[in-house]
Amino acid sequence: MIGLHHYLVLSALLFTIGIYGVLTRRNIIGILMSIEIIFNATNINLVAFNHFLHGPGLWGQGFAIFVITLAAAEAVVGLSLVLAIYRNLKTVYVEKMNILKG
Amino acid sequence: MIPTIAFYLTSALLIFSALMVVTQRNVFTCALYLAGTLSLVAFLFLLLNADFLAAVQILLYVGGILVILAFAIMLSSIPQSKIQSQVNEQWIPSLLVAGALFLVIVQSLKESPFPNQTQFYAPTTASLGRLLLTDMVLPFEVVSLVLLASLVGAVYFSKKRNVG
Repeated sequence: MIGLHHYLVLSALLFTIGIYGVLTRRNIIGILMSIEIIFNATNINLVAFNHFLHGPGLWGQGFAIFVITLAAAEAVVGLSLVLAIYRNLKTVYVEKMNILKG
Repeated sequence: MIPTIAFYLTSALLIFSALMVVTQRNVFTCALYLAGTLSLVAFLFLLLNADFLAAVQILLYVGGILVILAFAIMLSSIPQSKIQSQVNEQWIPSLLVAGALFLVIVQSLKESPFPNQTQFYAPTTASLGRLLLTDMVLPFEVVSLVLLASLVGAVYFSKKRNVG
């Protein structure tokens, strides 16, 4: 029988994979993809808690919808920033984006 | 029995494709594995009685965000990206940090029993719509403002201009 803990451990694993990606990727688009994985781990948590602990209520799923919407907005703004940076600096690697250094 | 097999199969594929997303060298391959990851998460939502959310996941993530990601990858691809390493030199400390974080979360989950777990299956679309327009109407409206702001911001940032 699959219980709540199975889903929580799965989402913890996904979350740490996303954290590893954020910490190690050099490509900024790769970092954005890892952030999407983290959002998905959160959504699994929200929906699993809703399903196993709050039966007929749907607040967890409503929250997950807002998370997905904000992830879309974040991806749009983030990728337009990436393209603006690429146009000016000709790079997508985060260690090259250091023109703010004094 | 069938849900158990479905859960374990989905989680194995999910973890495999998420690992491929963070370790593959070619960014476009990563985007394709990300499509697999997001679709498998939608399948998990189906197992968790979230039918509308699974549809939203496919529509918004796989249909929307991934297309934008593919566009960004194709617009910013440079020839060296196949030769240069895609991972910085901090991968061993990052692996340690991620592993320690996972152990902490699993340990805290082990010590927290969640009471009266019951499963409840019913269609969710109608009641989710009712919830969004009654109890959640304030965040609903705020999200529309956020979407407008991100639209204006995306247009502003991608406009052609020189950095002074």
